[in-house]
Amino acid sequence: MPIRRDQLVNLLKNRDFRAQFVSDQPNEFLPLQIKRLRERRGWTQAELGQVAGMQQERISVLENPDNKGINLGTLKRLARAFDVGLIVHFVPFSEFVDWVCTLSPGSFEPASFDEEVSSWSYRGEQAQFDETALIAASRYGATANIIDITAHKSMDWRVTEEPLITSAAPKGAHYASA
Amino acid sequence: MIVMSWTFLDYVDASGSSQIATWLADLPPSTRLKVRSKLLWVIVNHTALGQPLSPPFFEALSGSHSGLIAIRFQVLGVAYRPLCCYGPRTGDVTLLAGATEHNYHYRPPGVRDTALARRAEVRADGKRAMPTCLFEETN
Repeated sequence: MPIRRDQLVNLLKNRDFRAQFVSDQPNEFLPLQIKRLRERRGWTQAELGQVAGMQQERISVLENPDNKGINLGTLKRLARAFDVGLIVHFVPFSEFVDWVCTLSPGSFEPASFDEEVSSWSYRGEQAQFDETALIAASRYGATANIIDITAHKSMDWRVTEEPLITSAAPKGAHYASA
Repeated sequence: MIVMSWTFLDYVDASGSSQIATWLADLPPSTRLKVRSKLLWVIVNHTALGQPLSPPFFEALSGSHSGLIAIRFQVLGVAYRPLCCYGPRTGDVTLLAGATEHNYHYRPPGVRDTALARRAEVRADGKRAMPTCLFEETN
């Protein structure tokens, strides 16, 4: 059952509680994320230590929520070892609540750059195909399916957010994208 | 066991009172706030993750207390070990009793036996598990 936004917002109305809840976030989330990222790669703690240039014992501590905090330098080394991005920044509570309430299994196991690259090039080809279909459709005054285009827009700069075609498709015309 | 999402519940006594709420209320206010925050993060993260509850965040008890799971975290140098169990339904986790651990001894004494008895009650009567109080307003 997902965490309810209204309940969380009510809790955060208590200033002392929200300060504590924010303070606990890195200590509670990061050890779990490090463990999940390591397991996703099939690495032991010693193997992650080798890649990140740390002792196995240090990795064990980092995966323990009772450790006293992880410094930024360690996070950077782990981001490099896992080949994932790292964002550390202040946010308004609306964003914080959104983040908490939309956590999913994937939040704990971001894909590495290499894993994403194959996905990007595939989507890029799809987007190009879609765009071609739209242009072809526009020549015939048809309506093309732009649902997938919007799904790609965050990944590919060639895709426009605006519908390219507004006129109705002639009978029998099929220019819908994949 | 793979579930898509966990639902965390509280054991409630015959009068409908959450025993985790009672335990929290007995803690000093500053400690209560920290314990509550830690417990909520455990719930938030593991609700989302949907994986079997595993170390180092959880410890399955063995021997005569098999079936109980301790949630593990520290606050102000004290090792907190609230006890929970799977059920009553698939995908549920019920918080049974608040506890701490010192030198491998659980406190209050007998808390694991209490939790085990509550687990039996929850399994016999699903109404003894209600949505957790931890998301109710702080005081």
